[in-house]
Amino acid sequence: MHLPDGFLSLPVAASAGAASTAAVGIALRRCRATLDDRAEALLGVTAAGVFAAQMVNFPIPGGTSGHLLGGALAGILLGPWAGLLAITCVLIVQCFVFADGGLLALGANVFNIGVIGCLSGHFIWSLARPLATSRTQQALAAGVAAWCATVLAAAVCAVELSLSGTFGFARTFSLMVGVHAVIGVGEAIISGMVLAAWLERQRRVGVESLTPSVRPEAAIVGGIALAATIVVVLAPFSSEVPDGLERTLGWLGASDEGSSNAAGLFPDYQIPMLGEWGGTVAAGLFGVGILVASAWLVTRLRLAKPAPSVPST
Amino acid sequence: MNGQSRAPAAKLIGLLVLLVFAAAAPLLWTFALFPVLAVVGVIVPIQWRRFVRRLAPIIVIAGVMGIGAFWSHSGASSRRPLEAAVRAVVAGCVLAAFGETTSLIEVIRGMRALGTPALLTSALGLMLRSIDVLGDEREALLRSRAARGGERASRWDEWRGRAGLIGILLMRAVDRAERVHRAMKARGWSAEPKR
Repeated sequence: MHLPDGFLSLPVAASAGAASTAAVGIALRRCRATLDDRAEALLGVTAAGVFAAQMVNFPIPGGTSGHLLGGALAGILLGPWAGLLAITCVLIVQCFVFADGGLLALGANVFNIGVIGCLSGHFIWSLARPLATSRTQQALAAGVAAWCATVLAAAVCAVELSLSGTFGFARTFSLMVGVHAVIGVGEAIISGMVLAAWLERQRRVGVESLTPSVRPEAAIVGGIALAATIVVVLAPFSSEVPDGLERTLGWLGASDEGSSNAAGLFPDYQIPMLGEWGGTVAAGLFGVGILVASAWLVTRLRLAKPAPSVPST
Repeated sequence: MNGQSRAPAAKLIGLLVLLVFAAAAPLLWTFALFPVLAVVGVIVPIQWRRFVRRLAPIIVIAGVMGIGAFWSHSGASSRRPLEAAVRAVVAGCVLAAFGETTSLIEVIRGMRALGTPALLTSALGLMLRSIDVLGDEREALLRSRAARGGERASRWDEWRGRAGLIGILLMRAVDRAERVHRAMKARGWSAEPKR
């Protein structure tokens, strides 16, 4: 997902660079405040650790191999801000030493892999963590967070490429998300396994996370805000092309436009009186609301049961 | 900005100007960068074989992304994807030549001179010093795992073993960071620069 120079337009590269600069600035202040004068050593050496971890290859059937991307894992293990800075250092070294990712595109790469990857990975893991009562469940939560962060970063990358005018949105978005949904499975497995190994060793040795976790309330508000932003920003770009299931039904002659969707609460994700865009956004926000309420209910029911104590990161 | 940091800062600004030129100038003009790079390569000796090795993945990525861009437009407008791929290769040449002629220490010095926060540049410096050490540690872990018969494990166990290895590597990185911090403190280092 390392974008080279040339594919992003200058305004998009500059905007992503400005957003990354702001996020890295916040991360620097937060790390200095929480880690004090340990910050330099911890960030520098753990960034080297992440870099070395990315060099460990995992064999894949077919004679090839893959490696850890590490954005979400860094956010989970090191905390969101230290993780973001560690990934930023790794991306800077990759850009200048290996020419892996462009310099003008560095802001976009930091935004996609660092800001989106680390922060969303950490937020999603923070949301899932209260439900995970054993080490295996925590590893599973980390895997889910890593998969979501990988796909989300790919989606944002597709938006940047299409805003630059180089790529068409619909095809690029579906290709990037589709390919990274598969890559994300590997990332999820590796991240979950690494977290399980980290927790096991932490239980034996007792090492704390570098920065405190995001407070649960902040994670919940952040997650809802992220979901709502995706709905509002991406709704105008939703594809008119039928999806895989609709296309297959069409081939089979089983599609029946107008009747299959009419039975739903919001036919074709629309609320008739609100117009096309407003209807899609309102239906999306309604869906987000239902999901949040369901998650809250499940969490309450789950936390009501006494749970065995587990080591915390 | 003293003389020692002025040159790296000027180099970084020069690199940015060349990359903006490669991204924004009319396409034919960007080819003027090749003679410039050739002259730089003569003045500052470049290992051309390493330069080509560095450039090869950029050409492959630019080609794949160019084809992807062409496909995503359904082939309606072929000019823009082709242009983007050519610009990516030109920018890659500039970046690879910069990497050949500039060490990362110089880059960090230049970033510091241009006002990058000290925490980020110090972390980068320490990262640079630790990469080889942790790389050796990774190799030692892989060797000892192979010596214990880890290579003969099933695919699933192989993945578990390697993930555990990454966990140990990251733990050791945190341990090492604590030791580095204590050593820095013992030598009178402080986050606040003394005046």
